[in-house]
Amino acid sequence: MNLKVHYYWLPRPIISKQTLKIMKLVAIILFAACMQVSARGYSQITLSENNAPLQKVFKKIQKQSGYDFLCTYEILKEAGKVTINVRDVSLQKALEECLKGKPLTYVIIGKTIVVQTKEKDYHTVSADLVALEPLPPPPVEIHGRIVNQQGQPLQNVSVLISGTKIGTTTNNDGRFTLTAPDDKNVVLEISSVGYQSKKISVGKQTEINVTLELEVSGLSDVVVIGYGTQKKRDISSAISSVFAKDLQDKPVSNFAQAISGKMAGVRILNSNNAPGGGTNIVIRGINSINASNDPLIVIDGFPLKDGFDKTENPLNAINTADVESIEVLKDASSSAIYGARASNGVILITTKKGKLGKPEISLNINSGFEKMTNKMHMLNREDFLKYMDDARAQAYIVEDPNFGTNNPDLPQWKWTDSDETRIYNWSHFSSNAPFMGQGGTYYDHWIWVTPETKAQPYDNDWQDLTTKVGNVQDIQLSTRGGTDNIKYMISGGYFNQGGIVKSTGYNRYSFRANLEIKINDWLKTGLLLAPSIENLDVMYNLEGAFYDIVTIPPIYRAYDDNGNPEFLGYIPGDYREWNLPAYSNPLANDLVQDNRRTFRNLSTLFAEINLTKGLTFRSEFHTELRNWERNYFIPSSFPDAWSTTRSMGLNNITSRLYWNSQSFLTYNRTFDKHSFNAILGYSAEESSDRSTYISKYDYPTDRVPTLNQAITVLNAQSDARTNRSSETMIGSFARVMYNYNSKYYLTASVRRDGSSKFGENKKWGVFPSFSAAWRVSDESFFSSIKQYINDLKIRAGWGTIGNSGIGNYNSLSTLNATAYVLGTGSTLSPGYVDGRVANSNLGWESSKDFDIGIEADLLGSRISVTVDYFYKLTEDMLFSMPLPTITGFNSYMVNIGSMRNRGFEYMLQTRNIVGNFNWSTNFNLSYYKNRVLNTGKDKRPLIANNSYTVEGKPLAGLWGMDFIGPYKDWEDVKTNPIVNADNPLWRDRSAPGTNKMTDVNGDGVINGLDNTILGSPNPDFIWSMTNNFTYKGIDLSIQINGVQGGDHLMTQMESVMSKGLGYGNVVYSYFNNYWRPDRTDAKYAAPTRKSWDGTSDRGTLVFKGTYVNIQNIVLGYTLPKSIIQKSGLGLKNLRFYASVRNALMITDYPGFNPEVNDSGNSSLSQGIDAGGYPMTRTVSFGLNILL
Amino acid sequence: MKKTFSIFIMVIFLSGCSKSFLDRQPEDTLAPGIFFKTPADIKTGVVAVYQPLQSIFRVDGLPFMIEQMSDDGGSPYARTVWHTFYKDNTNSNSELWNSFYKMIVNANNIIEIIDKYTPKNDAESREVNAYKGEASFLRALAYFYLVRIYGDVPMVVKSFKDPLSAFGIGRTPVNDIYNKVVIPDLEYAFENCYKKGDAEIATEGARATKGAALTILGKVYLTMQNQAKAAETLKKLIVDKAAGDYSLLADYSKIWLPVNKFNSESIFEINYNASAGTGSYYSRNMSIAVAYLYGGKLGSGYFVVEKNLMDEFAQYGEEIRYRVSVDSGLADRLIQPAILKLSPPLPEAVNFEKTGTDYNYMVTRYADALLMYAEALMPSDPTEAVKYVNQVRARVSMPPIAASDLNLTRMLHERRMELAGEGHRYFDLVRTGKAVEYISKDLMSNNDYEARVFRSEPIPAYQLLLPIPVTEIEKDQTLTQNAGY
Repeated sequence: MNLKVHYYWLPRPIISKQTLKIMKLVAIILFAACMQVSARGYSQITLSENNAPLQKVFKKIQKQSGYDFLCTYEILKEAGKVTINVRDVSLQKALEECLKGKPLTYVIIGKTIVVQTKEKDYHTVSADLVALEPLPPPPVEIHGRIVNQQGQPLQNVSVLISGTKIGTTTNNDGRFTLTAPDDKNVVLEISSVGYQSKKISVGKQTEINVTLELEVSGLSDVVVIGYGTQKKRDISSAISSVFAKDLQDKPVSNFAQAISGKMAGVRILNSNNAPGGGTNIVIRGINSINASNDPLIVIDGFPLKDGFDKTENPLNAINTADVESIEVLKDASSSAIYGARASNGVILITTKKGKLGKPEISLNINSGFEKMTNKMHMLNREDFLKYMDDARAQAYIVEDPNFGTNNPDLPQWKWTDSDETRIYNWSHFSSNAPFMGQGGTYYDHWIWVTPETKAQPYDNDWQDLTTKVGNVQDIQLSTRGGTDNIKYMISGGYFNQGGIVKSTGYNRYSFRANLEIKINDWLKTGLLLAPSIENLDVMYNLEGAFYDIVTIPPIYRAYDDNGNPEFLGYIPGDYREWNLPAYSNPLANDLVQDNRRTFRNLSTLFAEINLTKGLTFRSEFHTELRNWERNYFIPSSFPDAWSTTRSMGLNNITSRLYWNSQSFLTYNRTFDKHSFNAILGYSAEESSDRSTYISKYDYPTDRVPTLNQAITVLNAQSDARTNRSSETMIGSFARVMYNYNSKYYLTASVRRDGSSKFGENKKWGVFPSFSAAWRVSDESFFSSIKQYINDLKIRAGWGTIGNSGIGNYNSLSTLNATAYVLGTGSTLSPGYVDGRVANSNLGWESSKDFDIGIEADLLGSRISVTVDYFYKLTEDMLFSMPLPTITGFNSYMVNIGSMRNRGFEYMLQTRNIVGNFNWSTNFNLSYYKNRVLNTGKDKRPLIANNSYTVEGKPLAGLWGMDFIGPYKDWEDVKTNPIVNADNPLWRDRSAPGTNKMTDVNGDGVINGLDNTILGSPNPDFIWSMTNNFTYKGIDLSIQINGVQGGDHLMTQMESVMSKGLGYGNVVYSYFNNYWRPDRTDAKYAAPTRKSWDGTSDRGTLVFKGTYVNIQNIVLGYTLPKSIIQKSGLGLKNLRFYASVRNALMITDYPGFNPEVNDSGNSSLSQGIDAGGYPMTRTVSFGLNILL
Repeated sequence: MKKTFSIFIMVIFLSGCSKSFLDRQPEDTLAPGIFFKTPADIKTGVVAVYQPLQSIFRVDGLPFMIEQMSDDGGSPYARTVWHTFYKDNTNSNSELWNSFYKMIVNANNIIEIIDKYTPKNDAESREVNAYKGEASFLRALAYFYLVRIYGDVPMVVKSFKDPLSAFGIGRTPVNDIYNKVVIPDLEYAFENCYKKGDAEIATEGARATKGAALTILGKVYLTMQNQAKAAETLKKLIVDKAAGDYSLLADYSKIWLPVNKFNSESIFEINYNASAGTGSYYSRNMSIAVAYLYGGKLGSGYFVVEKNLMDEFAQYGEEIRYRVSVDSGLADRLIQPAILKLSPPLPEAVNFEKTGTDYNYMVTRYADALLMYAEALMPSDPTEAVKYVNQVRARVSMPPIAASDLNLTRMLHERRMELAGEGHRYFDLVRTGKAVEYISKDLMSNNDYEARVFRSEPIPAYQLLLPIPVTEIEKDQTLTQNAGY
């Protein structure tokens, strides 16, 4: 019973809006009243009123008769008071009685009594009508045409009269005809997929022409938030979304690589490019020093346990093809509902679900190849020999007793002296002449290159020799569909990547079944299953391997006469004849087997009960079963420089059973303009881990790598063991979201979590959050500029979020097992020793986060802009505090200190050209600044792996001595501080051509005290731009990612890039720029066989990680529908495409990968490049088929 | 139905989790509070005190450093600051510091546990007292090394209930450490440890004995320049046989053989066992440059014997001790002579480069005790003293010397010949006050194979002690650094 409908056929009173509102109110009152009585039947009326308002009398009649009244407020007001006294009369009698003498009449239609003024009565309504059906209103036909912005007609556009079920769709010409009540309040809702919906007030028009605009800002998209969904339009916190279409067509092993650059403030670092390798996700900066820095990943409501793993990426287990959408909750007001582990941001992954309709089969095939990019430019044979000569000449010149003096009694030593002269001079005049030794061959070579060396014919490019063209295949098959009762999505996928190094590779078989069953109108249940099997072959010595590859001299032979890799890399003969070190051939790395196999099954069982209108109870039970096995084998044939390798095998199995149960009530109601959404829930989880580890040595043969073959268990205690560990967490949470007319928004949430990881006094943490938003564009004062700014929303949020990302049992003391042999045999006696200090006050690390953002749609949604500012303060950091060693421990974990991140994020989406040819652009840019505010009482810097963290400065500054070019000449040496001047052993190593460093502390000596911060690993900003073009069936997408600034320290590359030792290979940028007597203004120190001046010039190894990378180009062609239909294959869609990943990397960075991050997600060591797997360019071709 | 069903589900999920759900104890380790209930449990705590010895005496630890600091050895690369005494405050060898304190902390913990333990009977009482004696011995040994390497060090004899109370503890003078910890501990160990050969430790020769306590105590008194007390202490061992029977092994070359572990001459050994995964890599790192020549493989050769020592062997006609102790290299090529005592014979050494060997490191042996006793007696009774020197010499077919020839220089020579490469030389030189003189002489003369001169001026006396680890001073800034650094 909808009273509004009755209005439409009523004669139109000329009333103001104000009156209309009041009328509605009255109507509601009446409606409410009649609700209570309508069940009653017809009855006799008894009334006894004296001078009562008509309204009151009507109410009494209503009560007794069960008939509704409908009239305007004006009528009631003007009618004046009524005096009536009747007993057991009919309804008609009673009505006549009370309207007697008033300018009013009535008509009964159905069970409604309509009271009208006599004069204004348009229709002759008589009592005869009582028994008749209500008169249909005069049909007013509304015609219209709907076109797009180019004026092209749009068909199948839905046109609906607001608040009714009256509607139609447009025909081929975009036309529609609709019969509507003749009422100026008729509002048409016009909507079509891909276009922005519009509401049109019909008024008195009968011909309506509407232009629909393309949907770009996605304001009507539904966004997944914690424990629910929300329209993007109604979001009041910082959430970024990516949808399936942005994830497809890229042959990548995990979703993180696919979303790289898609969201402002979310930085994806491919810190290990090896197949299956780890991807760092940093959302709004690093927030913790010793606890986890990984975002929480929640898949279909299931918060996953795995964090970052550089070698094996746990994200790989999630098949990107199954993903419907990814939401990143960046600020506390959105993520605090996941309190416990939310402080590094939350990534919500929603997988594809079944949908109503016939089964739809989708097949996607992608296959391609990949090749190394960013090779380092190493010397070829000819230049390498020159460089060796130079290094020896430098060693010789440094021996010159004249060097730095002008002794006329001694011969002048020249860089260009012949070998014979060098030997003669050195053995006769050098103060180190005894070094030459008797017979001398060994030390001679310090100063000249042997003919054997020079005669080597080999000119190997080791980077080419050790890498190959890799390949990628990605095959995805899925089907989905459903009926009213069952909806399903089933998929199977195969992904394979054969790396550019022979021993690397990754493949994954993944399956998913998402079922949803509607049991009855109040109960829904479902099961989501996602098993996957992954195989990963890991390269031996990931960092070191590529260092070896670039440093091994080109003159070393790669293969022996039989074509087998010559593993020791020597030229036949005594290596000392060459005076070159024994390099092991990097091709030998392929002999080491390191296979990791992971089986993982994620499952979710849920039930959802619709309790009453708007109130839903949902219960989810998630489990993860993960079984991981590593088999590692170094054969005895594996060479190393010292020949100390024993054949060794290792087997490591870990399994995890993790369950998580969540139940929550959701209440969702809209009253007029007031929308409420509230949840109240509870969650509990337990994860238990078990592991087995065995390693054995000494295989009689290299053919069988299993451990049954091996003979020796080296350390019975540590080499054959099992371990167990478990953790639990309980949480309860509540959230209320309210908005008024999509104009004013308020959200508040609170979560209370308890974790087994913390001390008995501090197990629980409470994490509140608030946010508010204001749609400015809906205010009346805004209407004048609304045509330019279509939508403008300002939002702000504050919240506290927690971090419990530390190992288990850190608050408890333990006994560690150890052993010692007390007798003559090999019997180990067990020992137990305190392993950890208990800290019962160990508690939550929490981050307070404030975010303010503006979202605007401009110029008919041609442009949409989002700007966010955030300020995030981490307090009570989980900090591994150093203890004096006399306590028996190095450190223990306490809650100390604070750190902040703050920054801006900008996002701009534009539709540049719209028409047959479409061009749209998405651009985002973000930056943040980090500062460590407080490290507790202990103000000492935290120095780890060439990184320096101290209070008042950003995390992990790159740390070392600052190189300022070589000493030009003796004058320069004598007038500047020299290296280790206080150490006679080293001070005489400072000479023209050696490293000159900044004397940071100004004490006139360059030593370990002159380390300084050389750079910051945080980029100045990161940005990304995606351009999409479509023309008829052709689509082209070009994504460019960029990083501006951010320093990397190539710690391992000193001898390769800035301080050659005269034997390993070096890069051309060094070769062309090092000091020689004829090049004293050179940039780098001279290479020398007498290199050790006791310093390490990290300053030359700092490089900006700035790059611009054409990350993805996808060019696709969708066959026209007509051709597909003609083919008769029953295809719905067929598209071919070609894609190039890392198409063009423009960078000055000299290493293999400007995103490398050696220490993974360690906050104290960032931007360290110690080698690592090179970047690759992938070219692939694919096919999307929809059946 | 609907309501019942949802209430049912809610009850299931809410009832599952009580407060105890969050109390998780480690499943694969013990907790200190619930262990150590029997003598067998206590023994495991004592074993944990022994264990750090292996990391202290692993080849790149104490032996490597201490031999290089003496005039007996150096690095073939001739650049280590240990050898040339160009140390600065970064050369503190904090690993040694850490391991010794780990030993001390473990000893403190188990001693406290034993003190609280009530033995059920006399046998148990005897057993746990022996454990306490051993823990005390090891604590004393750790402090004895610490004060000789670092000088004054923090004195810790109790476990820290609150680790923060360890800050600001400061350094205790060496003599206080001797008098308050080392001497009482060693005396307690002498009272309570088993004797060598006692049935209780018949199969556990690596455990500390009364004899070990006496010998180290004698060494402590000698180091404290208290010859009388040293003589008195060592007399108990050598003359009174208060700690059981000790005698020199007849064949000098067989003292270190793995088959002769814990032999009659052995007093305290660091036990290595390759099959138990705790092999000694002494031969690989200290001697393999020599092994290279025999096995044709590449070696690391971190360590080289000083020519000075080789010359002294030759000069005094020390045939047996020379052959057993060092290798002189080959004639046709300059080679790095190395310590041989603790390694398999050279042709075999290469077989152990991957597994390590079973060769033990002897902290002290009876010959050391005899020579110390002689040194202690020397001022008061040279005639008696020379008997013990000659007893040691006789074993290696060296002629006896006269009491009149006995002096400190001679004692140092005897000790150098007998104990070369066993980690005594440096401490001997320091305690006799000869360190600066002897070591400087070595470094300032053309005294190695390449006739290098490493110093033009004597070594600085302050460098006889290592700097206190800078990392420790950074953690606790009340800790002072040794003078000079």
